[in-house]
Formats: sequence, structure tokens, C-alpha cells
Amino acid sequence: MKYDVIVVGGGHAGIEASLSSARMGMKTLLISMLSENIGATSCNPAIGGLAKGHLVKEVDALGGQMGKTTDKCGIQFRILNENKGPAVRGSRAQIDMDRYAIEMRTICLNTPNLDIAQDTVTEVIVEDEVAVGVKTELLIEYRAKRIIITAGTFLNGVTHIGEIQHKAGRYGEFSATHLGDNLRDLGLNVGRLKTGTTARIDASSIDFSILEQQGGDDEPIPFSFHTDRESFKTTFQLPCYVAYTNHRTHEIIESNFYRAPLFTGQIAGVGPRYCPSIEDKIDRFRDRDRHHLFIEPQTLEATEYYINGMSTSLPPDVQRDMIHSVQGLENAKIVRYGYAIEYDYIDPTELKHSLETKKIKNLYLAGQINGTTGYEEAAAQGLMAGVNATLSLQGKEPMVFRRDESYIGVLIDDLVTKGTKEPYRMFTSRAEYRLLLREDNAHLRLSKYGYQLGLVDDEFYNYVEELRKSIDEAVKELQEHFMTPSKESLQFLESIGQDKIKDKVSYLRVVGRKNFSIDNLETLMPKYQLFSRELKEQIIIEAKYFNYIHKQKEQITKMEAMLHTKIPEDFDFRKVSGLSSEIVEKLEKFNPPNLQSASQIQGMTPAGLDILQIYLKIREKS
Amino acid sequence: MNSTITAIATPHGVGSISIVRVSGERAYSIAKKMTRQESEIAPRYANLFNIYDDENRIIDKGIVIYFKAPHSFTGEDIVEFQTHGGVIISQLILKTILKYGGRVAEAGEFSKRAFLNGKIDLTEAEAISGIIEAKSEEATYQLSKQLNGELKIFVDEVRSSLVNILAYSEVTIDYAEEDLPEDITESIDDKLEKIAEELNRLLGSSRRRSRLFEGFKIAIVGRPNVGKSSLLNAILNYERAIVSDIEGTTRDRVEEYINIGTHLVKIVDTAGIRETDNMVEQIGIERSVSAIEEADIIIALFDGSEQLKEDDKKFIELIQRYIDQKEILTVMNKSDIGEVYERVEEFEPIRISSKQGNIQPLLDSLEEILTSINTSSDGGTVLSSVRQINEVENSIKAIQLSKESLADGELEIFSFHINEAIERISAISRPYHYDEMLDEMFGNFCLGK
Repeated sequence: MKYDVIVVGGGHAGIEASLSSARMGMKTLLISMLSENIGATSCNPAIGGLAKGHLVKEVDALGGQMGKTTDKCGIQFRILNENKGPAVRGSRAQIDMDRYAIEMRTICLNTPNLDIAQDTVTEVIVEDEVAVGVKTELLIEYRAKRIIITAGTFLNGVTHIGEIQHKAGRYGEFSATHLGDNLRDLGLNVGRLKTGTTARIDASSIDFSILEQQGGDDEPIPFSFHTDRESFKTTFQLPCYVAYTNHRTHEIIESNFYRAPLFTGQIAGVGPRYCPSIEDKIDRFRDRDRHHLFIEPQTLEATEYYINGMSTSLPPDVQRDMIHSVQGLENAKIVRYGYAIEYDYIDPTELKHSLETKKIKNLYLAGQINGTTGYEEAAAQGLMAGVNATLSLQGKEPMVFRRDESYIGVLIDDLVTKGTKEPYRMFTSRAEYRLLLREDNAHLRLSKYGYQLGLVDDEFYNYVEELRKSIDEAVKELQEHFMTPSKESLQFLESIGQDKIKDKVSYLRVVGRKNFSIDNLETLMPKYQLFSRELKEQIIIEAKYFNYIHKQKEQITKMEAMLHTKIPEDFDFRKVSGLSSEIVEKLEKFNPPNLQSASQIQGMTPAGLDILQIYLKIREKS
Repeated sequence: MNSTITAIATPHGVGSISIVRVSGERAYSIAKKMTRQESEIAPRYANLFNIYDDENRIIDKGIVIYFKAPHSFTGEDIVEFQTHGGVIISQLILKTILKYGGRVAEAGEFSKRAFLNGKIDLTEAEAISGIIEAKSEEATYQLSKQLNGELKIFVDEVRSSLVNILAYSEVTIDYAEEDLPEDITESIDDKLEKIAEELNRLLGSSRRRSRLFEGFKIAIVGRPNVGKSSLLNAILNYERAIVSDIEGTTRDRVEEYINIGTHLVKIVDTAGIRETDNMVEQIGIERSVSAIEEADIIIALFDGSEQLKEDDKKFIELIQRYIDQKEILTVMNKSDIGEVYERVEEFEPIRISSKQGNIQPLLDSLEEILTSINTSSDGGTVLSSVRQINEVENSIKAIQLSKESLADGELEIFSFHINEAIERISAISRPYHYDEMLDEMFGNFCLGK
């Protein structure tokens, strides 16, 4: 059987990869070990969060699926950091995890050009260092021009609950041992990571009356730019609950450290520091007298709750005791125990920015296999792998986002140029151009690319371009209008609760002040009353960050100059004296295409860049 | 291939010997030609040779040292000609080298080659270029301290405090739902205040010390016709008589370098200001103000043969504003004519007569002041290049801005400024990597679900 693109794995990366490839017209096959688990959320039943919400919005702006399905299956929507600046706000949704998977499977099955096969890939067929197909457990050989592997935690996955270990990719599911070994044999650099999840408990056994309730936003805002914001306001929402560990909980855990696989040496993989298990938290932060736990509904029926904050691989009896020590959970019945999982990941520096491996042509990797964690990080890579596999089939250049264009660009650039030693999670602080890369302008930044790819329709594209034009015009207008400290203006400022001005300032400066509201804007510029809410919001945000964005754009211009300083492929880094041998090795390994990429390499100093630049110039001249 | 470069390595016109250095492929052959040596010149030996120009005339008898590549400062062949001091000899040697195929080095080109050939790293390069420019012993001492890394330690401390603060801010942003200590904002503000203070102190002492490298600035100010020009001429003439005959110093320059005792100073010549016609006093005063602002030492000149005029009083007022910031010498000129000068409170005038060349009391006072400035400076760490000073200034600016955004509770903008402060500080130590912030964050906070 022959395909253009084969995607191995039906998680969040696999879904976006196969949908984008199929939607761009490629004959695509998605091979999943268990088709009912396509779109499964193995960990917490939530999508988004800080920086992760950015990724979902970007995937959505490019024509991906995650945001739309989240809107459809969400059971609670919140904007995190609502009280902080718009650049660092993040959307987060609790989802009905069962419906989410059903929805994703349905979409995949209903997408033209996309076939689904339930099977387990055992081997990538490679001929002359080119991937040409896969072999499966059912002894079927599929041929394809491009292969995308999105194996998540399944490569040689081993689960741990106390001393009990299983070869599994997710609890109760087979681990992909053959494929894991195969990728190692193909010469890819393989490492071992660890992650974990928490116990889930029976809703009827929780005493909700003494837990703090945490509801969704009064007026929920959808993830997808395509979802109608007005009608979304009435979405039905379920609350989460907040509980706390206490001294007793900590005692129970500490007295059982000797049975914790994390401490006994049973687990060798490196876990994420930002999402540690409860035993790790107790061990490292002994002075804390409590840790908070979020009790989150898993489905609309709310029959089972996820104890967010208590990821663990302690033995079942310890899990029971520690959960029962928490107020409100004294009688909790555990349905599923928490567990840790160790798995193989491929060192992402094996990849090009297109996510194709450097060693094996036409083989792409995306998602947790590249050392990331999180559904959102996976979806973002999946989308880009699907897009780039397709673009390469079409004989086009890969789509590589720069760090100043998107979080997706930051994510992939970080991975392929720096690699990762622990599961990589997105943070807003990873984005140098954070003030520029916001959730609220993801469509303004990226939809033109989605449109180019054919993943975004005309209507949406035109809407975004119209919006962009209106924002630009308004910003320009506000720049050209000035306010002097006249009696009138001072009265106006006082009436809208703003501080006085001392000198003549542009309207833009006034609008950019802290707490300047849409109402204020309408008072200042009455004709803006006719503008859409989104347009007015964008005007205020642009005004707020105007100066900073201006400065950042100057940095970007500098960066572009470096981008244009190409490093020839046959450039001999060893001849550049003054570089440390460590840096020379890294330069040889990553072979950066330009000075900008070289600057991203860890350990690269500005002085080193200067020398490199001097040598590139010398070579250019000779 | 690299061209052969040359430069006079010793400060212009200062000192009893001068050194001309040649670096590059042709350095050795040029040296052989200029010394008329048939046999090989042994590396690293001090040879006393006659040095000839291209027309076979002896320029001077001097020490010639050959440093064979790669065992030289630049890593290339280097020859040093050490000759008698003064501008003419070194100029002649330079000209001859140029005729034999060398070219004049660009600023910092020796250091650049040393750097490219892996002989020195960047901070060293900066410090060495500072040494080349350093014009007094104290300055050289200061720079050798930097090579030993005292500055580096200080800067590293500031840098890690800033990274720590950034981690606080970022954790508050990226972990919106965590149980974080609540007094974070206040403690950050305190820390920033301290950092800004320390940096300001560093900047202050660096600015004072930077005079060691650039020379202290002296301004002569006073109302028209008190004899500013003649005092300047008197000082210059005196200098010329006792130091050296520096060719090419022209009289109409606004600034002049001279030596007073062992100190190098730069005289800002406000005498050049012509208060012609009715181009009112205002301009004269404004010019004087800017000269005073720039100067470290002010010579306030009065005409001792006349009663104090309105304009004199204006100048006294003006100068009194600077009494705490600058060294001020009140000088009474025309002491030869006779004293009708009224004693001005606060100032004890020095009596001179520039016309008669009697300015020794002024020079003595100047030397005394210069010596005391040099020795009284705190012995602490200071910055030694303009670039470093700029980076620290920008870092302080960013910290000030960050404090404003912190007060406004705008953390994302706060982080923007702190990042800027870290970048600037890192530019004078080592590059900043994001992972440092992450390590700080996870080291200090219990995070994650």
C-alpha cells in the first residue's frame, strides 16, 4: 500500500500532522496502536495554560485542529493571569477527555485523503539513508514518500507504580519496543526521560462541601479564532476544586521514600523539574507546610476527578494513605492509581528546523518523542511536521518560523539547536519577543501562512487582513493626534481616572497607559465606538506595548542582518582560531546555516560570534 | 595574507623613550633593512643597532627586539624599535617602515590580531588597549587589576542577583496558580535599589578614575579681559620649556594636553571664546558653564588690578554651584600691576602674573590637587573602557525603568527591563543564557502540578 505521508501515532502531534498533510492534499495514513485512543489525554484533562495557550492559538491561526476541538469539548474555560498584561495571559480549558478523543477520531475519519489503520509499527524501512515506508506487527508493509513519527511515550515505555513495572506506552497499553530499538539502530541518538501522572478518584467519594470551588470565567472566551465569541458566552461550565496537602500527607510520603521508584534507583530517566512528582516536591522543599491540589473533572458527567498536583509513582497503599490524609478526600476511592513512565526520546538536535532528521531523509519526528511534554507542544510540532513533509513533497522550502514570529518558532528552534536534557515545556519567558507574541494576535501573526498553505480559508484570511489594516490605521491616527496639558485635557483625564500629563503627548501614549479601558478609548475617539470589540482591544494593546515592540523590532532587524550572514556548508570551523574546542565541536555538529543560528548555540559568546563573522568576511573576500 | 602593520606604541610626545612596533609577515625583513644587518637577528634579544632610513641616513641608535611568530603579542612576527623619546625620531622610523611596505595600524588592530590568533580573550583585549592608552602609572596599575578579575567578580555578583530577580518575576508570570510567597514585589524592589546603588558607586568611581586614562580636565574661566588667554599661553610656554618640543601642537586648538609634574592634564581653553561686539555676556557664560561641567579642576580667574565687577560676581555665583563637585582654584592675575582686589569670602586666591611668567604658585597648587585626587580615590574596582561604562549606565537605566513597571504591577514589562539590564551587564562579563534563569527558578520555587 502506497501513501504520500504516513504518520505513526495518533496523539496530539499525530492528529495535527495527519490532518494538515491530508488537508493539504496528501494521501495520508495514520497508524495508531489503538484507534479508540486517538486524541487521548493521558495526563490531566485540560488544554492550554500559560505559554501553552499561545501554542494552541498559533496552531489554530495556522489552520490546526486543537483549538476548535477544545472549544467543542471544553467544560471550563479560564484566562490565566487575567490581572497581568495581555502578553502573558494564557487560555486554559478543562475538557471532557472522552468526548475530546471521540471528536478527534471522528474528524480524522471524516477527513478526505486520510486513512486510519490500527496497527503497531515495528520498523521504519530505510533505503540508502532515505525513509521509504514502515513495517508493522501485522506484517504489513506500507510505502510512503514521507514518514512522520509521533510515538509519544511509547518507545520502550515502562510504567512504574511502586515496585510494579510494566512495559507499556500508557498504562494498560503495549509499549513500542521494536520501533524504539529500530530508531536506535538507525543511528539516532536516543535518551531516556521520565514523566508521571496522578491518581484519579471516584466523584461520589469526595467531600466537595469542604473544598474551595474554582469556577470558569463568567464570560468564557473560546480558544479558536473560528469559534463565535458571542454565542460561546453561554457555554456550560463545571467547577474544579482546590485541596491542600498537610503535615500528615508529607509524613506519609517521607516515611515511604524508601519505596519510591524515583529514589530507589528503579527510575533512571530524567523527569521535568517544572512538573515534579509529589515525592520530589516533598524531598526538595522540606520547609513547605502544604502544597495545593486541583481536583479536576475528567468528563461532563463528572464521575471521576483528576488530582492535579499529586503526580506520583509511590506504591498503591502509600497513594491511598496520602490521598486520604487530605481534607475532603478522607474517604476517596481510587479508580486509577498514579504512575510514572520512562520512555525513549530522540535527541532533537538530530533534527533540522523542518523536523526532518538530519541522518535519514524524509523521516520526520514530532511531539514527545523529541523530548517535549504537553499536548500543546506536541500539537504544534505535529502541525509543522505535517506541513513540512507536504511542502517537501511539493518541492517547496520548509516553513520555519523565526523566534520573533511565534512560540512555535521558539519551541522548534530551542529543540533543534539546544537539545534538551529534561522534558521540555514551553514558558512565556522562553520567548524573547514575548510582548510581540501574544495569544490575542496569533491570527494577525500567522494566518497569512495558514492561508498560503491552504489550511485557512479566504473568509478568515480576509477578516484577519481587514483587522490588521484597521489596527494599523488607528495606531497611526493616535500617533498623529496630540494632547497638551490644557485645562480641557486635564479635565478629560481626570474624568476617566487617569493621571495628569505634564507635556504634550500623543494620543497613543495616553491610550497606552495602564488601565486605559475600551470605554476610555471611546470617549477619547468617539468614532471608534463603531469598531468591533476585538479591534478596540487590539488598539489598546498595541498602544500599551508600542515602545517596547518598537525596540524589539530593532533587535529583530539586527537579527535579520545575522540571518543574512550565511555560513557555507563546507566552512571549516577548526580554522577559526579563538573559538573554544567545545564550541567548534558544537558548530560542526549543528552546522548552523547562518550566523543567527550559530548565535543560538549554547556556549557561543558574542566574542566568538565576532570572530566567526570576521572569518566569514575573510572567506567572502578571498 | 595579513598585511604588515605598524604604529608608535608609546604615548604621543610623552616619555623619554619611544617605541615603534611592526607586526606581520614583512616585519622581520623590514627590520633587517633598517638596521643593515646581514646576519639573522636572534629572536627575543635586545640588540643595540643603528637605525637607518631608506636614504641611508641614521635616524637614531636604539634597541631593536625581534619577537618571532607565534611567540609574540599578536602571534605574528613583531619587531620593536625602542629609540630616544620625542616625536621626530619615532615619526621618521614610522615613515621608513611605511616606505618598506608596512601600513599604519588601525585603532586596536594589534589587539585584534592577538585576539584572532587566540593570544588574548576579549576582556584582556579591552584591558590591553586600555594599557596602551593609559597615561600614568596609576592607570596601568588599575588595568592590571582588571586582568586579575576583580571587576569580573563584582559584575558576576550583580549579574546573578539580577538573574535571581528575573526568576522571581518569571515564576510569578508562568506559574500563575502557584502558592508563591506574597511579599515578592517588595523584596525585589529592595534588591534592585541595592544593585542600582552598587552600580552607581562603580560608575562614580570609574568616572573619576577614567580621568587617569584620559587626563584630568582643567578649565580656565572668568569674565572677559581678566587674562585667560595670557594665562593659558604662560602655562603652555612653561610646559614647552621644561617638557619637550612637541611638533604639530597648534595654538588655536581648544584643548591642549600638558604635563604638570607627573600628571597628564588637558586644559580646556575657554580663552578661545571671543566676546566680540555685543554678542552679550550670556554666550560667554554658557560656554564657561559647559567647560566647567566637563572639567575636574576649575581655575577661576580674576583681575587683581581692578575692583570686582558685576560680571565677576556673576562668575562667583556660578562657580559656587560647583563647590562640592569640583576642585576650584581662585586665581588673581595681574599681580604685577598692584592689588586693589577685594577679598572674596570662601576663596583664598593664588596670586600670579601671567604676563611676567610668574605662574609657579598656580602650578604648585595644581600639582598638589592632582596628586591628592590620584591618591584619594577609593582603591576599589573600576571600569576601564568607555564601552564598559556605557553598558553599566544602560544597565542602571534599565533597572530604574524596571522599578517603575514593578510599582505599576506590570510584570511582563518589568521582565523586559530586567532582561535588558542582564544583557547589558553580561556584555561586560559572560553571555547570559536562559537556562540560568530556569535553574534559578526551579532552585527556589516548588512548582508544577
